[in-house]
Amino acid sequence: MTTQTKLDQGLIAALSDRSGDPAWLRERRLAAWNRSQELPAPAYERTHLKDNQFFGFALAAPASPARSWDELPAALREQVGDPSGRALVVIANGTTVYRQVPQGLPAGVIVTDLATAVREHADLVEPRLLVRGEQGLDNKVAALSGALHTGGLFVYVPDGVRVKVPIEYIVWLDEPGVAAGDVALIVTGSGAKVTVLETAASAPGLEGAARFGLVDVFPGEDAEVVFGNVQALGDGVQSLVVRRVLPSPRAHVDWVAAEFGGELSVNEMDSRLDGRGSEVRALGVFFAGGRQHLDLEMRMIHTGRETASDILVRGVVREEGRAVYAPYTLIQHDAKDSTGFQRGNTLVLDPKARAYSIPQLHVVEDEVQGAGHAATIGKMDPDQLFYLQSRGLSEKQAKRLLVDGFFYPVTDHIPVAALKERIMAMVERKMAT
Amino acid sequence: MAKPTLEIRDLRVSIEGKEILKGLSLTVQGGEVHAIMGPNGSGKSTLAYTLMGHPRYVVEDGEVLMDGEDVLEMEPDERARRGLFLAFQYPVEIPGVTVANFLRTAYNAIHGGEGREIPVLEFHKKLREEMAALQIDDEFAGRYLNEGFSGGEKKRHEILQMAMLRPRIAIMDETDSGLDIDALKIVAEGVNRLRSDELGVLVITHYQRILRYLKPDHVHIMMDGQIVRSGGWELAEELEEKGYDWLKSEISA
Ligand SMILES: Nc1ncnc2c1ncn2[C@@H]1O[C@H](COP(=O)(O)OP(=O)(O)OP(=O)(O)O)[C@@H](O)[C@H]1O
Ligand SMILES: [Mg+2]
Repeated sequence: MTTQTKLDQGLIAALSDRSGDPAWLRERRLAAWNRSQELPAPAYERTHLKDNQFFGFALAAPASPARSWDELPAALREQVGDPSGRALVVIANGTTVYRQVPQGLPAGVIVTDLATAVREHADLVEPRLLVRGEQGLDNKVAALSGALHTGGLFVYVPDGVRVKVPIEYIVWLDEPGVAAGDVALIVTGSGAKVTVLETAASAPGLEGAARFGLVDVFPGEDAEVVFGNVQALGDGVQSLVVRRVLPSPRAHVDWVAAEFGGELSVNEMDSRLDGRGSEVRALGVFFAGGRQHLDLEMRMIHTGRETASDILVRGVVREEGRAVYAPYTLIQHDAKDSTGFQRGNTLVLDPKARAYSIPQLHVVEDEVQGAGHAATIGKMDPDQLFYLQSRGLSEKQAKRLLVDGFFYPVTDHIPVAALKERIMAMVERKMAT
Repeated sequence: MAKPTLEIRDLRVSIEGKEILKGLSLTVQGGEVHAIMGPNGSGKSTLAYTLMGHPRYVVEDGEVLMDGEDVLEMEPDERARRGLFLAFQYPVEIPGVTVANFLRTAYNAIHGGEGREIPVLEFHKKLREEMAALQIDDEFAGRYLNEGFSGGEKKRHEILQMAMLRPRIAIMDETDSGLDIDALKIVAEGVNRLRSDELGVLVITHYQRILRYLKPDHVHIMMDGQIVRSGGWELAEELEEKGYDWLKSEISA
């Protein structure tokens, strides 16, 4: 059941009661709500968000957690596939409905839903949850996600511990007209290693629902973190998600962003490379068709010395789809001996499809190791198409093969096999329709 | 299968408004090898591309029939499924698409049909055999189509595709250019192995050397978009000896 009123402070306060927030969280939630009201929409160059896109939704009804996998909606289970042996936290319309942790996770590793973590691991959660507003990355989407969240993920990996199995965070929507907020917090100790994969999907035919998401990743010193997201929502759904990473010294982060679904989707990734010698390598894949509007915003802010960032993105637009590729790299004063690179290529398949490429690279520091960017927007090569067709492949088959080949330089670098397979399967699915 | 026939009748073709083929007629039948020779820019590749259906080439007039059916109406893939094949003068590079994956898709498109795909193992066995015959290293199956191939490797790959796809009419556009002496022999032997009454071949070349291996039944000289002279093997020899100027003066005389 849906509460028909639009979002307001009273609803947020009620949400806080309902969630049983401790005092500190209630305070932060309400502060986040106020910030979400005060802040202007993020200044995305080609995506203009109106008030309605933030506040024109109802609140999702509370859902009770499933006691077993089989109690979850069938459409959700189908999307996720076989759960056995996997570490999963599933949230539906913003509420955590299921979690499972396989046997044999190393001692001290925490994988749970956020509300449980708030209750049971306040020492780890309180210093980091919804506190990054002051760090120059304050953001209306992040603030609203913080105000609205009723579910989320918490991952903690202690010093020196390496988690082999990927931890999966599933965000599911099936209630029309509602806004669902979720927050994921991923924290590691020094020398730790972990992979977290986020998948967003929705029930077929869902209309008018919105996800507001916030992911905060805090890799410890020398940690190795892989974070990947596959956004596969239906094309009647809005998705505004901010994902931030603040690597400690010498931490290495592999980031994978894949955007396939949504009517309107902005995937904003903010890296603050503050820890000396930290490194973030971001891969991106997007595919906009129909009347979709997808925006991939990737920011690399270098403030620490000897930091390195690299962005490699490939995307396809077709039909009347629109996609924005907007990487932003800033090497601040004092971020000596840093490197920042960007490469992006967009393939335009149909005359009405639109691609926008807005690469920005600002190097304030004089002594950098290297920085550069390259971006192209192009059509399918008619000679390649002809070559394949001349060997008997239909136009459709030929295009499919060429699109796979086009994505290859990115997909080839995806460090987790399961993630690579999912992304390639999504490309197949998009091409098949 | 019946003996194939490709008939080209009075073909006129333009590119970007410029007429390149100016009334060209030629018939190739199963069991025959025809050679086309002619100076640079005379329109040989234009003929090859047009026969295969490249959209850049505009047919202004004339007919192309394969087994009596209008080829010009067909998309390139349909032409391929009827048995037409072009070994490209400049094969394009397609990064991210492996030779094996591409060839299996092509093989199934031409010979498999819906639900009758060749089993993967059987395909790979066949591919390995054909690769061995053309002395192509196994690792090429996993490489990206023509990407980083040397000039000679690209040409050898065109013939590998021909061997795998078993066309009925094959056009070879300067497959011999860029091959060293040994490679030329391997490629020519590869083509000769495929020869039968069910294959007609049109070889475009500048050199006699490949013709010594293929022993064409007919040699045609093309100049300025037309076939200006046809003959037997001796015509190629005469041309090599006397050059195109000889022919030009003969024609104007
Ligand atoms: N895309 C194009 N646009 C404009 N003119 C073209 C194009 N392609 C070919 N031509 C012209 O058509 C003419 C015939 O070219 P074609 O490639 O068919 O010659 P060819 O006989 O194959 O030459 P070669 O022996 O050098 O391979 C040339 O004058 C060439 O410049
Ligand atoms: Mg040519």
